[in-house]
Amino acid sequence: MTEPVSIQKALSGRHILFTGASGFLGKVWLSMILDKVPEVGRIYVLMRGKKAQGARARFEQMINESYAFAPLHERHGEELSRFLSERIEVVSGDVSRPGLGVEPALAARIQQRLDLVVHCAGQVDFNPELQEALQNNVEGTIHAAEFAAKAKGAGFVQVSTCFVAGNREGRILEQAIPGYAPNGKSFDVEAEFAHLKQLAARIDEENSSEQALAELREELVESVKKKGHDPNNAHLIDRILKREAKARLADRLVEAGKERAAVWGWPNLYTFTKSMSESLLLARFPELPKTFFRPAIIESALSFPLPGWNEGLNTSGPLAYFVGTWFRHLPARKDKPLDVVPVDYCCAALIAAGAALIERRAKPVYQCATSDRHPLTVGRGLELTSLAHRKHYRNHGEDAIERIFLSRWDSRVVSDDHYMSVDNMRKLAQWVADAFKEAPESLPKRLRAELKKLGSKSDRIDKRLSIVEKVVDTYKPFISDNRQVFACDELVGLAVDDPFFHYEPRNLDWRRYWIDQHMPGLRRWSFKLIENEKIELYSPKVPVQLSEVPLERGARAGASKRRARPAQASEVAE
Amino acid sequence: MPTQTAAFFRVEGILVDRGALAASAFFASNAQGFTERAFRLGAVALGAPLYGLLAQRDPTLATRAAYAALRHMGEDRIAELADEYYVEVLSERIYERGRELVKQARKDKHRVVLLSEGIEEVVGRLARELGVDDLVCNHLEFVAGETTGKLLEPIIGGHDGAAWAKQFAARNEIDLSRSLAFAARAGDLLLLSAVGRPCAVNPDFALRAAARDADWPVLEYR
Repeated sequence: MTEPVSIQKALSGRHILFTGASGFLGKVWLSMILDKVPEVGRIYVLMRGKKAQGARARFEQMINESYAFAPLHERHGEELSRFLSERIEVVSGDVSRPGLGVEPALAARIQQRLDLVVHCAGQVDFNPELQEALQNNVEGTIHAAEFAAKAKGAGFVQVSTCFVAGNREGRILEQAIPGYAPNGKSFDVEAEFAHLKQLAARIDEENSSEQALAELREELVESVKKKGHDPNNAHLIDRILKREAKARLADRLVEAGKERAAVWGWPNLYTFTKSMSESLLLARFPELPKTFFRPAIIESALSFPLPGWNEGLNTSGPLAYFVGTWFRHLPARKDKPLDVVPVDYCCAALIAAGAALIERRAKPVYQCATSDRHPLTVGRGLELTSLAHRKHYRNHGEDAIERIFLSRWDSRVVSDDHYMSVDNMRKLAQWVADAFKEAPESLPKRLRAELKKLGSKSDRIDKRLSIVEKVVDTYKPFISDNRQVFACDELVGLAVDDPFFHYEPRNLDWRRYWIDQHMPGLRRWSFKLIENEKIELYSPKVPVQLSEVPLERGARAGASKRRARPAQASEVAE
Repeated sequence: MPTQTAAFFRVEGILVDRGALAASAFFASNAQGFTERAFRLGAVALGAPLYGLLAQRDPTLATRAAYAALRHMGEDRIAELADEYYVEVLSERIYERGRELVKQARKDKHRVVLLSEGIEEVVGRLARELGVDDLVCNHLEFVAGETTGKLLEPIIGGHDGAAWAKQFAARNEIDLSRSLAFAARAGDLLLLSAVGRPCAVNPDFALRAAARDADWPVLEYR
């Protein structure tokens, strides 16, 4: 029997380059490794500076404002600045640029002592603009891998997604197949990559051609005229033209990406580009010691940094929000596994995978999913969501309508063609709006005015339903299409000495997690985004300020000194 | 030689004034969706007279009938509604005098045992709140995350309280002759007869008559 991987031993004194620290997963990974493995060497955090804010200032703001770092603030208090300055070096860079946009001398210094690259950065929108997705997901991965390859012997963890499997049914194994396409057709990743780049450039060119702009100008002049504005107002027309041209380009780039993904059998551009990244890594970096870490749907924390912590809008967020409104009928497949993983479960496993790679004991692919060992179906997820809303409205409803009626307004999974489907409800709302707005003249004036008011209300309902329709459509691959079960045997089988880092989805109590942690977490941090409310920020007693120059941990044994590294890529467990 | 003594409390009528049917009606009226609620409530309403009729003759069957309306209800909903039912209904209806009886029994070093026709999801919380030693109650059968509407054997609520108490006493070295039992229904006559210190609490007609004949103490606090 092989010895379990010792997380502390494997990571102690190791130097890691980390990309994507500002993301949901990235924040928790960074906070967790610093909290649970404080003897880790230097973590180079690659960050993009923003307009008026350098990378370091942006990092400090993140540490000081995000609840993800609350455990570190609580543990170290005013010593946290020093603790971080000894372990973190913020590196200004950008994954979309060659060499990660890192200044060459600095890059060489980092590469000299690098043990591991954890590449977590990427575009996580499901259907971004084609160019953006290529730059951030595909080129970003290549740049990060090139960076790792230059640091001789460093391992590379590519954070991917289970959904690279695309539109396929059944059990998906933990395999990385070069030139993989879900539709089974021969897929030349290099040719496709070149084609997509050309496609994006062509769309850009076509959209900004004189002819296209002239046609758009004509359309705009007509529309301005119709709205009763002055069509000769060149300043106004130019302003709208600029905005419209940009929007049209964005739409076309999004559509082109979606179409191309569909051709090969991926549900969206996100999964398509993530899969391309895997294929390109296999093709271009055969010698690089690497592992693909594929999480399923990452959701609120179970316990770290604190129960229910969430950020932004993850997959279940918008759906869970709408289920808490008067919207009742969710078109989905009741028995499809929802495949949710709490973010801290995922990060603990990601740290373990990194440790295993450093020890050259990592498997080529780790799938971090729950559908295989402890599935939560869409039907159960929806029921738990309804029950969580019920609990909230009964105890904290703002008025009697919420406490008595909305709390009992349970949602149900229905088929696409259900008579109460979103589409049919929209049609009904439109019909009501039209009928009420054009009430017969024979009716009394006051009644007509009231009906008109109701008609406008129906208009608003229609608009709301169109948002719901879009959300449902976006998340269709996760709740309706492709009944997939993602194997996670490799991750469960990854023996580690510390139970905190061992991945075992069977330990999850879905009911307690969903009702007591996940849903309150969404309500606290995510629903507010949909409602355009201010998000609650963490406020530490002593804000962190990193030292100008990263500090060395002089006396600390094992730290800052590069340790002997186990052998090369060929030794990575197959 | 048995060294311990126990105090057996029938939950319904002694500690709370709500039985299996009330819980079942609460679950039914809060099922998923309006149509389902209507059907389930209808089933409970139809079952209510049957429950009333059977309660004296065959309490086991009556208890079974009370939960039949929950068939195909999800485990998550049952658990959450049980919690709600306990907090919003049952905890408001715990008899203060009943609580004191439990307290006294604990003070007198009796092993406190609750017997209930209720399901574990509901009465489990009551047992935890009262801090009793043992709870004997019913368990719904679940298959693939849904209840079948059936109760797992042995069903608590019948005339077999005495047999059960004897087995319990043998297993735990309890001296029944020095033990107490509190019951409210004639269905528990055998249980009361099995212990040395029986007490009829808020008794129904038949139990009141039996208590009078046997010269058992009768407590009234409803």
